[in-house]
Amino acid sequence: MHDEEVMQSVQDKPSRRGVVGLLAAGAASVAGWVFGGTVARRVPTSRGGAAGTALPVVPGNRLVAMQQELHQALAKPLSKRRWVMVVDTRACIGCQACVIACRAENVTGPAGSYRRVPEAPAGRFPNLTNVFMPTNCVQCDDPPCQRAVPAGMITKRPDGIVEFDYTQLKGRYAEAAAKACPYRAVHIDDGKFFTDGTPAVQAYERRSFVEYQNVMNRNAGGTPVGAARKCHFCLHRVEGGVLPACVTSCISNAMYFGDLADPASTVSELLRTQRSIRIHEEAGIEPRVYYVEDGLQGVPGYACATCH
Amino acid sequence: MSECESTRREHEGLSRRELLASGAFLGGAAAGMLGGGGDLEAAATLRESDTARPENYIYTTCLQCNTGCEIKVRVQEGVVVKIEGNPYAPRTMDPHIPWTTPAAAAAPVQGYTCPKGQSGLQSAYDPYRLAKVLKRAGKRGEGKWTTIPFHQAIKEIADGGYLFSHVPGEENRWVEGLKDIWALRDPALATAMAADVALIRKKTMTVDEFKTKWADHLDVLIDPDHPDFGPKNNQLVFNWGRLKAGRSDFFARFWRDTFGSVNGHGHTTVCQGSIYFAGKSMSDQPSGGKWSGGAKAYWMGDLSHAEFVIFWGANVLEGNYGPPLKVPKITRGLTSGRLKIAVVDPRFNPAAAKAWKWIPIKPGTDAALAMGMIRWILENNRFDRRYLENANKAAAAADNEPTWSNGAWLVKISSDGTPGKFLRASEIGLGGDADTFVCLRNGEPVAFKSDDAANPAEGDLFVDTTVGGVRVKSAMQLVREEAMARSLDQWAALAEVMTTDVVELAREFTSHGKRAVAELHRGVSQHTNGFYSVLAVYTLNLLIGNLDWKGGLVYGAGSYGETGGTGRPFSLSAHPKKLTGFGLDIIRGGAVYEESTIFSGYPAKRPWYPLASDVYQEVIPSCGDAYPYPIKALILYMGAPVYALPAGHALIPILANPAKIPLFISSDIVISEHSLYADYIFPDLTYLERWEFHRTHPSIVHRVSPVRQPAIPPIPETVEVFGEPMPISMESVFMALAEYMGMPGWGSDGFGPGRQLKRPEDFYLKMVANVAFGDSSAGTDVCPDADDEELRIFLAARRHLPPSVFDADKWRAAVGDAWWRKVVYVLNRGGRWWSYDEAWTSTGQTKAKYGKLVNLYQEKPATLKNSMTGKGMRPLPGYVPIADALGRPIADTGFDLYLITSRTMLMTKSRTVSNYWLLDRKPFNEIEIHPQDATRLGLRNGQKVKITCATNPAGEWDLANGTKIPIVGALKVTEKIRPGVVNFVLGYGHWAYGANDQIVDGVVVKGDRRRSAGVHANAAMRLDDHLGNTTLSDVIGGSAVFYDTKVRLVPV
Repeated sequence: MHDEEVMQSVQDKPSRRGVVGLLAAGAASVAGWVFGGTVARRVPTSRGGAAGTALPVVPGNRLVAMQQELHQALAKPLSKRRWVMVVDTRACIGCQACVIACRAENVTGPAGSYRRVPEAPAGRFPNLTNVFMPTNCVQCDDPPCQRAVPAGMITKRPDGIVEFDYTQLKGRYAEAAAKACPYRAVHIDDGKFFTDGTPAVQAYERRSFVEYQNVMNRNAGGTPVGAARKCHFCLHRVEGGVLPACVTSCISNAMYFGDLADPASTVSELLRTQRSIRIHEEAGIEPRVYYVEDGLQGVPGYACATCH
Repeated sequence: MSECESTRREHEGLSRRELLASGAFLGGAAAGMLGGGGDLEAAATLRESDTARPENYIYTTCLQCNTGCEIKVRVQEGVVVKIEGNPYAPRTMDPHIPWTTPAAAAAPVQGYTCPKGQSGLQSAYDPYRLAKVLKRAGKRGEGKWTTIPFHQAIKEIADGGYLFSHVPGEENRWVEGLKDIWALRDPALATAMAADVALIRKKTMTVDEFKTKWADHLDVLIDPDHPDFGPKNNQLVFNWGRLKAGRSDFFARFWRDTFGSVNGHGHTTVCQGSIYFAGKSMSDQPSGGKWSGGAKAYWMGDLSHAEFVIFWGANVLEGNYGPPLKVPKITRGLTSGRLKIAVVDPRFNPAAAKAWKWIPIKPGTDAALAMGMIRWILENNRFDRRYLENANKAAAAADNEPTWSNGAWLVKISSDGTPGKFLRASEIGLGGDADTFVCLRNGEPVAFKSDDAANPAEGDLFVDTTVGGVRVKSAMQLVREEAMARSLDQWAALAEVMTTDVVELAREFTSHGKRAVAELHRGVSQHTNGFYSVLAVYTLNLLIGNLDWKGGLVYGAGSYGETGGTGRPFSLSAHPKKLTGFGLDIIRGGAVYEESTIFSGYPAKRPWYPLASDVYQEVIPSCGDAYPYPIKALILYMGAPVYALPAGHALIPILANPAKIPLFISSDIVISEHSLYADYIFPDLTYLERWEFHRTHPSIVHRVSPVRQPAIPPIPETVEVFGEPMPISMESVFMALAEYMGMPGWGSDGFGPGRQLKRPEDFYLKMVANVAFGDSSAGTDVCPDADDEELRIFLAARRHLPPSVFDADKWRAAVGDAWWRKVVYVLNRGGRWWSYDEAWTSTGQTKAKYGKLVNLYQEKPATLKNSMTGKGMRPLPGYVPIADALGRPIADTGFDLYLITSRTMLMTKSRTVSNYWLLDRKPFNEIEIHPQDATRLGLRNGQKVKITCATNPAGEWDLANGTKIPIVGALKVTEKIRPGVVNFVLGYGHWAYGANDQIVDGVVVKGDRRRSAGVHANAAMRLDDHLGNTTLSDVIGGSAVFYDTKVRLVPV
């Protein structure tokens, strides 16, 4: 069978693979052992992994330009980077590509997603409008979730990313963090799989992945299972020199990411030249996600209440 | 090998059921490949930079929908974990990076792709994937199967026999095998008989003369009394859904070139057939007094530069060709202020939310709106007179116009006022040949040829006169008369739109020079009047002369020729004993009723389609009616006719009846709605496991050649064909049949002596080499060799692929050393594309041009009769009321709501319900209704209702196996739809495709009820009253009708 052939074709780790190969043919209990929970491992930080690679030069390509800016920012110390996200609501079409990209990238289960794209239709036939408002953790500078749990479970990194400690942020603390978020951006991972109840849970759901520099998976006993989870601006990608998944996957060119500390960055220029709002700005929590909007509805921030 | 393997596994305690469903099977395989949490060794290799490593990616081509976006798939421990857009390609990055960018530099750059594209790995890793061949164990549709060895299935299909004697009622049913259907095997005999059949069609040979001449060979014919049916070979029908270049060439090598059948039929008409065939007619060129050479293609807008676009029946942000390609050009145009859009659609689609104007038109009246606009534009003199007066190539060239129309050409008018053929110069004594036409300039007739590049001919646009004793009008005059036949208010009233909207739309459309486009899609074409509505909307574009202009209507730049051609290294059509089939095909495509030996007056039993082909809705019903002849075997590949066709339920009794379809073979990845009735199901590969060349679409202004190539180990079991290991797939089925039946064109000498075709790569890699060769026949466009680093990346990126699909030595041998590194270069990028700037010229035009005559007036239809009414076909754009096949208006009194459908970004008709990430975003669909209608009918949001129509008063799917599924869904009361219309999105409400229980080898495989959520209301679409077993159709352009049924909602 083909898996056997794969075993033979892969030359790098023959012995261990042989063992797993035998187990592979086995029943669920065996698979459970293979996939059993694990202690999170810290991976070596490869700061700017891709930043060493020269990117192609493509005039007029905002994704490549932002990635170039990202590489420049990664050359600075952590505390000098000021990551922000900008959503151009004039461009967003509510297609959900970013939500799926986020799921694949961050291996979230049916219990929740780091990202949602609610819509806010309004008007009466035939005079209608519709606005889409992508939403995720806004990496508040003063995060309400942090205040809701004991110190150390949620930390504000020097670059602004709000980091969850999955080993501690479980049970009632997870619930408290989720409840405290005014953006409804935090969910609790229940460890379920999309392919539960089918002939077999699929491998892509059980894969290892990296968050906050830890290797983990969602198998029984895996690090994130039972923990509160939320968007971290794809920290593992960003540190590897790649833009967040919601940004690269956006087919409508509505998503922007970059270093607000760099006045020449795309995000800085966008926020200088376009009218933008931040949701719940009034709460003084300093969210780091901005929404460019064109005031189509007459009232700035019109659609926010529908979604947030 | 496979049987030994399965025996071993059974000894290890695995049940056969686990082997069947890839779920269990894949779970095991994946455990080995994917380290998982317990695998610290593998985990240690994970790091931030994984997303930027070239050896973690394979560049291939999406097939979640027909846009065919270029993608790069990230592989982790042998499993695809994420799909991204390919930055080298214009569909998924705008502007795209240079093709010459080294693979390592491109690796960290990610393009974008849509949610379906992102979810595509769930199509491949569907737990209900088939790994083994299934043979029917019960009656058709009963859902009972036996897994059988691949080569046993091949033998049974080839030899025939009492194959289903184990099924009650079929004990004595002899099934004829393919070896007997392959009756005519001598290419010379086929060619000679075909020539005489052509004489019969021209009435210059009688059937009796033919029978006398070919008395020794009449046994190869379906019916010696009707030689025009062709040989028995035609009783094998190969019908496909989604099939692109490469795979289509490979398959046609079997069914057409080797087997000699004429019955290979696609699915075009269920998509947008009447656009394709209107486009074909509009692009036909005069030749020898007739019209030919038109391409089955059409035009779309250059959205990168347009200033105003009307998206007409085109759900451009969710469907169409396709979101990643089109959306960024639109949204950037909107946010920068460059672009303004209008949307014509009964439904407030997402584009309408971005539009300057939304016109919620009444379904089926698109031509009325177009004719109203045409009238206003003509009356207000806002058309491009200079463009339209150009009657030939030289005149167009003098104005720097790449195209010209026949608007100024003179048409002969019969005594009853009917327009007919164009006047030929020779008819009024001006000489010339059958392709010399006439226009009028300053009252004087001018003779000209259309493609004359030296002698410009310009003509007056509005002519109504007599020339040399012949009553004539100019084509533009005829269009104007059509437009003036109703007042502006009358046109608006027909479409049930406001007159002011018609005027504003027309004014805006004519306010941007050539940078305005009326871009249309299915909403215009999938009506009984589709052909003429398409012509009407395209006429608007002709009025502003925007063809081939930047920001105007573009034709697409095509693809690099993969199958061969001048200078290219490989000719894929090389075949030592190619059969050229002949005879009528089962759908009567491209055939003229009056020329056939079964002409018996009007109406014909079923419609004939002289202007169309690939009329999907005709394939199975024609088999059911044995018209023009009965068939013996049907192979269905990647189609979903039962689920996807309007009134697809009417196909079920035909598919379920062995007397109508004696042998039914399905190639499928799961047991889907049509495969339920198959005799044999062969597992196929998904798009992530196989080859194909997706090519391009009308709106892609760059030349593009994306390659689809294996990215993951195959899910179906490995078998041996021609001594080579390969996964079960449509390719291996054809190859194994050829090997077993000893057919020429395959195996060691497949391409000719010593030139083997023993593995799919022997075919497909040669096509890649042809792409690498490029476009210059002089060889000045040949791609570079991959350097050592690129070769290392290439091999490392395929470390997880088994020898059944990747064997570097065999791959290299398939193209030879001279081409190997060039092939690697192309495959490392997933294809080949023009650079971004190459698409447009400095003079404001597209580089790739349509560049010839475009027909405003269609002479060819004017020479043909409608086979159902016996009346002449209409040659002009215009409004034609909705009607059945006999041309009778459809009343459907008592049914008060139009039923329409739409795409959601989250589903592709029949084949994405397995994508749980998409289902998570929208778990079920609803029946969308306006509050006015809900109130009138006393219905409330969320209420369950049944949809019934005149031809399905029970409102149900009858599966012909004792199960009936009511067409019931939940109402969604929304302002986002025109009152009087209800809509449902396609893709939900499955009853197979993993949704239902199936019994395999006596074990029940439980279905997943998430896949049956929502409603699939195609069975509430109306049958044609005359045909009885077929949806309403556009009998001219071929479209299957989605939007002309009126329904009633019944609370349940």
